[in-house]
Amino acid sequence: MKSILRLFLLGACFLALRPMALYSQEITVSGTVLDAATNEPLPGAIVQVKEIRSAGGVTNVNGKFRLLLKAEKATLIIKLVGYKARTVLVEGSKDDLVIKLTEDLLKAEEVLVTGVATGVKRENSPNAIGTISSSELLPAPAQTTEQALAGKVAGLSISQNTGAPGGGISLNLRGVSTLVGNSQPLIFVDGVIISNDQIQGGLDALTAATGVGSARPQGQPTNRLADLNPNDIADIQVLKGPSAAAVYGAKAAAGVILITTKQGTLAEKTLIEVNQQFGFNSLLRKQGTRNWQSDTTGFFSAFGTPAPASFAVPFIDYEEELYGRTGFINETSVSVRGGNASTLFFLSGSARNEEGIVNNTGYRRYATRLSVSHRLTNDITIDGSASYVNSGSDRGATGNSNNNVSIGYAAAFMPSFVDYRRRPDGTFADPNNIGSNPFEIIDQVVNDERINRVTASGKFDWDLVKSGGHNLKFVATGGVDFFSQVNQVFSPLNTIHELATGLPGRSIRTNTPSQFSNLYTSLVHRYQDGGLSFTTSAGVQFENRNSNSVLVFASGLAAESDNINQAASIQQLQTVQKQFDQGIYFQEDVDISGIFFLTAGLRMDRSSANGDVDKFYLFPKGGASVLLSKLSFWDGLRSTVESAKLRVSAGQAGTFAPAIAKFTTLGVNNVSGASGLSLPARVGNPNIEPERVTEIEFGADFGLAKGLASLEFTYFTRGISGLILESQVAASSGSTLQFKNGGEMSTNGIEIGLNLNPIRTATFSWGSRIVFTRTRAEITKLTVPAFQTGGFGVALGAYTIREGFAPTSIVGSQSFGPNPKAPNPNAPSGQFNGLIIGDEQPDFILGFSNTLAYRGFELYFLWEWKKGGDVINLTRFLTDLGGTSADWGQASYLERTARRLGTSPNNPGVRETPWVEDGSFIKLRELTLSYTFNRDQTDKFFGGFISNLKVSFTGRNLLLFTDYSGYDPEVSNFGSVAIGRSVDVTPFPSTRSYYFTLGFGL
Amino acid sequence: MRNQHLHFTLKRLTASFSFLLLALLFYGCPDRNFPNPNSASEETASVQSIVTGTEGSMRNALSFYIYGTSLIGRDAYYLGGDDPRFMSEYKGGALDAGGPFVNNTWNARYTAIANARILLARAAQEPASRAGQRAGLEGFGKTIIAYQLLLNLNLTNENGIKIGYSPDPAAFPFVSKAEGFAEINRLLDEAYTSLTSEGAAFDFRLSSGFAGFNTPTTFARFNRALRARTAAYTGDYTTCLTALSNSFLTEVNTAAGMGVGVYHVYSTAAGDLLNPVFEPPATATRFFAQRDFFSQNQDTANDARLSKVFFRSPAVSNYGVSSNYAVSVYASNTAPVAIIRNEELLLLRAEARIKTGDFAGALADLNRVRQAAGVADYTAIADEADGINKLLYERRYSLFCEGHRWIDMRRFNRLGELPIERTGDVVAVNFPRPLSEIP
Repeated sequence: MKSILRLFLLGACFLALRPMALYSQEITVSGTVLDAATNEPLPGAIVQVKEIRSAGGVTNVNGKFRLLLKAEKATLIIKLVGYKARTVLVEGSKDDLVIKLTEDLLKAEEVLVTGVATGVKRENSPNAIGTISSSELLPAPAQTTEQALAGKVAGLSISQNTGAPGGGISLNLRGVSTLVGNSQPLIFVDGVIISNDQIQGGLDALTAATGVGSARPQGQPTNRLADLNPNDIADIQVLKGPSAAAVYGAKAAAGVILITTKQGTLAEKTLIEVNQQFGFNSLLRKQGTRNWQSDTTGFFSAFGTPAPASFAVPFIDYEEELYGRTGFINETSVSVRGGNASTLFFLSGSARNEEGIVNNTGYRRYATRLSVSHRLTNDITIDGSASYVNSGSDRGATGNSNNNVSIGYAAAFMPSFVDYRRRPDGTFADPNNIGSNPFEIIDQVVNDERINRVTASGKFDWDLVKSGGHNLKFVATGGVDFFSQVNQVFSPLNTIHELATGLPGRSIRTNTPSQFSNLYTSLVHRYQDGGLSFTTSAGVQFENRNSNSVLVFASGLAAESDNINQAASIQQLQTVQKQFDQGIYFQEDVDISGIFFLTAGLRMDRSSANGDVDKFYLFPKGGASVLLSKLSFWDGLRSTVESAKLRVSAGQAGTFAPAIAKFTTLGVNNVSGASGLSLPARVGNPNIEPERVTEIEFGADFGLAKGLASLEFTYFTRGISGLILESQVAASSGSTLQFKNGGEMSTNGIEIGLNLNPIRTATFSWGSRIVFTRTRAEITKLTVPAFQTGGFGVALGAYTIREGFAPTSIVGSQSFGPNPKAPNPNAPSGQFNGLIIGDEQPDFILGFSNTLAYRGFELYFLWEWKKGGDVINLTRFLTDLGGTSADWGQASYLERTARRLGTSPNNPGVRETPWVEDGSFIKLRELTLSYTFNRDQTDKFFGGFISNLKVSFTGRNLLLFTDYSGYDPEVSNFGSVAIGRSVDVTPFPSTRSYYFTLGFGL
Repeated sequence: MRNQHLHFTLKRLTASFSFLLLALLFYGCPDRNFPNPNSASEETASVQSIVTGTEGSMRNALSFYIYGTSLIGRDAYYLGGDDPRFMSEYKGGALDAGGPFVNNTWNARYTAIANARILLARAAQEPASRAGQRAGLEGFGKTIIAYQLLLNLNLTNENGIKIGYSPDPAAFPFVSKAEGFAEINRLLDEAYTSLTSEGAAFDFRLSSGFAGFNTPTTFARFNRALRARTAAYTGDYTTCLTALSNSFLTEVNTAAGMGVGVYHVYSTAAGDLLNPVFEPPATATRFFAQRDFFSQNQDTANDARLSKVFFRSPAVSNYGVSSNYAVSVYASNTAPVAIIRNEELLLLRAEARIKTGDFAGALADLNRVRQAAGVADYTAIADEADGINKLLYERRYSLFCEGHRWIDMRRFNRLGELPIERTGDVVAVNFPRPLSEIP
């Protein structure tokens, strides 16, 4: 230890004493940077000096720069985001250099990651890595970051679980990659693994949707990526699968998302940008309800009351009454950025406040972030950033319920002629004896979440050796993501639903501190000899996560106070999740003349989540690309097809079993204050191993000359072995489930990205982008008996996991036992007859965006089209029962009822599950119309006080076209589960939002 | 010059590695091999905690048993809007072999059995010096296993049960109803032998639900009460009478005396359960008696057993039925649920006496129950058929919504007499075999 310290100190002293070279001459270099196409000056371009890193400058508003250099000659590198970099060699002083930059429409020069500490230009990348820049991310404001990702990257599907304020969104890369493991990608922000967990807030305890602590919670929590301020993001890179992400090891099978936040910029003067938004939320779509005024059938049977003589009954549109609020949105964000050659900084702050479409619901977020990058010496750079977020969402009680304490669930049983609204005296009634009143729930029941979150990251970058063709670098990145989530669910004493319970007055408090931390250290060696370059990197990785959720469920509150001290009964639940992982990686990248690129890597991982905590699991990868367009046979073609690349890569990554999988957690069965332990429904498996996903990806990328068009085509195929299953065991053993490595699955798909820039003139431009994704999955081997999961039992529609079928297959009553319409019509009672009644996996997802710009005006829109993908619509089931379905009493309703009862003439005697619907949709995700004032105008109006000014009208989720009968086919009653997502049980309806934005820079 | 450069390089490399090591020291390497942070393990759990856990887990999913038997036996309706499947599965007869209405109670009973099996394994580890404690543990464990098997067999009936326990559904086949009863009776009888053996002792505590039955001697009386019930269910009335004579049957005619027995208890204490079927009768939305519970009573003026329902006006309607009577058998959220009690024992003895021709004895037993309910004595039993009619009437009112009527009507082949109020409804005879048990 002592000698280590001494060595360290020696090193530090050595640095400080390094002699400075003295130069005999100084030169002055000045010039202008222009856009090659329009000859417009380019402000903000960075001029670096290759020889002297601490020198360098930035162009001013007129595109001009001036450098004073202690050298005789210098190599200038001129860079600007969105343009191809240029290198200019100057000898002696120069005045009035003119440097023209070409716009990099196809992003050929964008640097994509190849490993933990290495990168490659897009035109050489062996993988299809999705990228989103800040301008692509937020053409229209978004409540949360992940909302803004939809439709932008081929292979990445974003789907909303609930429309409740604060989000609840599931991210998925390349389809199904696991059945019970974590299906969410690993997310890094500036090198720190951040939590995107969905932590239950205890709503289930109030709605009795399922038991507290259930393995399949239904509380539809928010996911913690929601805390990231989307305005702070500079760019996002999406590693879609193991072939790109293998060096991230056993957590990377579901893909990796690397988010880089905005950094300071070299600037003449500090830039201050202010954005102010005002907007509104409103109900996206109604599902409709039966109007009894125009209907004379079925009155009696539905409600057991005699039909009135006339149908002059009132019509109350409960969807309007419950979800009809126009919620106000207000967001202010300010950023300050600047810096000089040695220190860059970025500081931002934002406040967002929005009201939901249901009274007493809403979301707010206050966020601040500071990033500093400092060049300590010519060889050492230190980056650090820290952010603090305070967010809160008031979500109301929605979703499934077993006691009707859910707005939508109760509303399903309120026919439009019975008045449930608040009475003039402020009280509520339950005329139809449904056990609750949704207006009272909105008024009285609280379901709130409060987050305090601090994320800090650091990066230490040290050029150890720069000599000859060798360059050796030490890079360490790491940080901490800590948050405290506090949930409060409160249902006061004197409410209709509380009085119906044994212990009226309930309050549920959940407090969850969560800490993620990681440290990655790498040595990167680069050797360049002519056109040949070798990059060798190796390092060690530490990743820890630890959360400790404590839930207290108090019932029988003495008064209308939410304090749990005064409750008659207290139940509690503590859930600790710990995982410690350690990895070692090695990677070699070879670049041959910018034509061939080869990469190979290996990661070894061990983890506390595995049965054997000391065993290292190996995850290799390899890839190659060839840039055909740089070979001589392409010479004739180059003027039309500027770039053409073929690429192939393969890799393995893992999915850990849930941290609880290896343990048997005994159930609590206390009696009268005596502690009792009992076998749980699910027993642990001490031999559990991570799943292993092997992926091979082939691709071809083409770019037409002048950036007119580019096409990126990818085919991938995956084999998943050691699938972790929550396999059903015979209940007579005492338990019903056990985690097992018991299956194999194959997934394949194609991804297409097409960019078009058909018109590009000085005044008018049109750009268009299409991303297309199609994935298929199939269980190829199952070593445990086939089983059903998800949903609420077969009769209401469930997912089936069986060999030869997609894991997203949905089965119903008609799939078991004899059924003339089934592939195996004479199946014995209770046995699977081969009939699949739906599949959650869509046929394809297509994102289509266009940008039209004319002078200062810009019109942008993004459509997303999901074709296919079925949803189990149990909202429909409930409204059918409650007599409130829009088509109640009509042919379609009667057919559903007959199918349910097994009396349909189409299939008599076979009970069917009639609520599986096609969830295809087309959504107008984003629409923006903006005007950016030019410099002359702003100078004229503001006399130079304001450097830029932009106004815009924007909207998100403005239009939805679908045949689906519910609010939105994008729904998941069970949250972000790998299997069993598409179940609709009276969710919080989806909203549309529109904004007016004013942005200006000082 | 070049050498110096190399020197620089080496120095810097050493420095960087020392920096890296320092960072690692800072960071530390947490222990990956930690025990389950969320639970004790089965191996380290005390016998007492497993005994209590066994007792506690006997209550899990009990609501499905009570609602299921009460709905199918036409004691009651489930009118709550929260889950229509109570009515469609239990009244409509569309019992889903893969769904919760079949599986929940089945699974929970086998979980309690698995807990009791842990106790039998612990008993086997007891040294010879603790033979009495071993006998006590065996007597408790086997009695509980037998009772839990009986509840499942009551539901699956002709479809049988499993009496071998394995996660692999193919490991043990279903056994027939008769074999199921044989196993239950074997366990009860073995348990009785253990409980009554020399020096048998309970080295554990039971809850207040077993008050008066918490020593081997007194627990044995509970064991015999259960044996009397299984004997009656299998028509073995001689054994039934013998078992009753060794049970806790007491010849009383008071309401309090009827209630003597063994119960599941509930409390608001942490980790405990509340009575799963209780709702305040005045605001109840779920559990309602069928209207004929009141209309078919022969002595509505006096029968205290009618207080098991609470009159509500207007009637509560849902699913095409309506009722004015909220079930209030369980009067509070901590009201206990009977496992077996004296009123049933008297009725079991009446049944056995009718079946063995002792009409006078049967009459006396029936009248004890009637006197406790405040209604006039029967004067005579004309013949066996008359006796059974009277017996079933008393059982209906005495054991209302305690899980009996469906099973009683079935074993006397009278399911056809149960009313069907909605077109399409059927009276289920057997629960299907749960899907998880079929290979």
